[in-house]
Amino acid sequence: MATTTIVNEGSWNTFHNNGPFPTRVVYQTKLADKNAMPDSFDRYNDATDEIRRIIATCKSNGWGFRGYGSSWSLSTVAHQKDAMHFNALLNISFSFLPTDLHSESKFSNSDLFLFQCGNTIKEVSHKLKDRGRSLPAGGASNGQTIAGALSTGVHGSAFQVGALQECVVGLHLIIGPNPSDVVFLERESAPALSDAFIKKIKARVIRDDAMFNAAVVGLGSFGFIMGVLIQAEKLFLLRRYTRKIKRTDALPLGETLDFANSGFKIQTELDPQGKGKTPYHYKLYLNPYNPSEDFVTEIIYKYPYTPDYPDPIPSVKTFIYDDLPELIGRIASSCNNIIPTMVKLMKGTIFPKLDQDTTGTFGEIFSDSTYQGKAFAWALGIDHSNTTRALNLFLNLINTRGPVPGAVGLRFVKASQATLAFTSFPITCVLEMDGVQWDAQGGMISMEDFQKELIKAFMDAGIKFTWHWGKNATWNYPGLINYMYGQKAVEWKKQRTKLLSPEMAKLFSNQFMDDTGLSQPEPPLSV
Amino acid sequence: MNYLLRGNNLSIAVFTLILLQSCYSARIRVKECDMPEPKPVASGKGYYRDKVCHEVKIKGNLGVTDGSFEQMVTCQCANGFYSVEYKVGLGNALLSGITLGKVRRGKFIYVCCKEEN
Repeated sequence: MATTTIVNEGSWNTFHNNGPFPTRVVYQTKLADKNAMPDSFDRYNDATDEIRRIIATCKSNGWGFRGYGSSWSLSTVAHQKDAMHFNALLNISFSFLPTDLHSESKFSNSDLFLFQCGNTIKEVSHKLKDRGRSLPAGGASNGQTIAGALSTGVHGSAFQVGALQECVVGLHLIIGPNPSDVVFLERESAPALSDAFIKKIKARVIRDDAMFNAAVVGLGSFGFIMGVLIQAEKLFLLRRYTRKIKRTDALPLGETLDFANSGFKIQTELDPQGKGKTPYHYKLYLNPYNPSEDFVTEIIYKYPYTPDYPDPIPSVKTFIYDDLPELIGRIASSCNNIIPTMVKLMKGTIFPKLDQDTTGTFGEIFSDSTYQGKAFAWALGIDHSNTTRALNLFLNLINTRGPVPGAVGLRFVKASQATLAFTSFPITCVLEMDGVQWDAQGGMISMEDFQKELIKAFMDAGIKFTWHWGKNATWNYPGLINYMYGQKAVEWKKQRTKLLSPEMAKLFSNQFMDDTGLSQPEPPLSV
Repeated sequence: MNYLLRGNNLSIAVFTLILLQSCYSARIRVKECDMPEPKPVASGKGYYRDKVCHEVKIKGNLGVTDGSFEQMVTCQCANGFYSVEYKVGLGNALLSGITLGKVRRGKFIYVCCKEEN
């Protein structure tokens, strides 16, 4: 049988050290021993039963409960003050036969895979590669679990493909302690699995487009995600380039995505007419304290897979001193005037190395990240046509109310179907800043105050924006969720209220949900 | 004169502290293992923040004719290694040096491979 142990009591922290946060108890469930229970379906279903038992315990204690994966989010979206469950050891996966699919399914069985919640993106990529398949898109890193990554809308910069959740076509959810609380949710317009298969994973089926679109970026609050059904695509190669790019080319490209007629070209990526090909991925890095200097672009092109490419994984990798990020944070706090100099000096570490061309699979190009100290990250989504205006506003604030210790990036992502995806514009420009946390000293603005000023500045300028659910923000800023999502937030709450009983909606909520107002039922419960 | 001496002592102390914190370490990473055994709650700094790691202290005293030694340990890895690091602090490196390699102190830190399912 699956076994659950208490692995920590008292506190929990994110990977990026944004805490610690108090929590009563952290559970971890290990799958049943393979020798004792050799059938994967038995072990998968056994784990489902175990999670139901934990939910029953939390229910009887009046506790909140939340599953989490790699703790990658910098916001408190994953945190629950009562009970948390570490999912990473739940990493079974299934492929399908044609007979496992719904009779009206338009998917190919060889493209569908069910991943248990604790599979990391790296594990997913590896398992898919073994089958000649790949995730179509994902984030910059691969350490998040599949359930965690899609729950906040992890995105990358594949502007013709979209965020990670676009390949998710089914969700296996546990929404309460009873056997009837195990559901498989998919779109009615795109059924994937047969009722017979869904019965095999002890679930009842719900086919509902609106509910699926709400749950797929569910912020961990649509129940416990036990499994994620994804539609993979044929394995492909990515050719990655890193080049300097003039600001006068970089920003118009971001706003138009017209690579054919841009002055910026990669000489090995031209069409027969000599025009620039449209890449798979376009990302910009810039020094916020010297925006007149050239930007750096990471630009990636997609190619059919062939096996004969040089190994892109470096055989030797160096790591910064463990204490260096905190030292930088302390220096920045006590003497923020030197932040611009520090950013300039550390460009070699912060930005990707220039002119290093690499070819690899999706899993090889977007590979391992390491801990870089107590980090902060802001990521605003804006319509890409507003890139220059938004960037100028952002940089003006950084330079007048800052400086703050970080560097700026721009990524571009196609709109998501998910109701509360922060990549909600037709093409979202993700304007982001990543850096080292600081303590406000000697007149330096605090991170909290800077976030508030950032939100206010964008609202005052009338620039519509969203904010990445997994990154730092002042989530209880008055009117923020309504400004960003309006009726979509109402729709999301409506679907959540439809799926979860009031008691379970409370169990699967947390402070983050309360701060954003998303824990409220819709329509509101009558008093 | 006193404050100069104090200043010098402080500098020496800081310098010594910095040196003593300097470690020699090298790590091998097993390419065939994709995922490390994950740590449920992130703690600590650096490479091991999100990984369950195991430490083995190395303690070897060699005789005059001994060139090497091995130390028997119980390995916690049922699914192979993800990484193995050998670490020697400056103090232990100096100890090995002044004893002409006859006293060996250090530690291995290893991370197991996450179980595949």
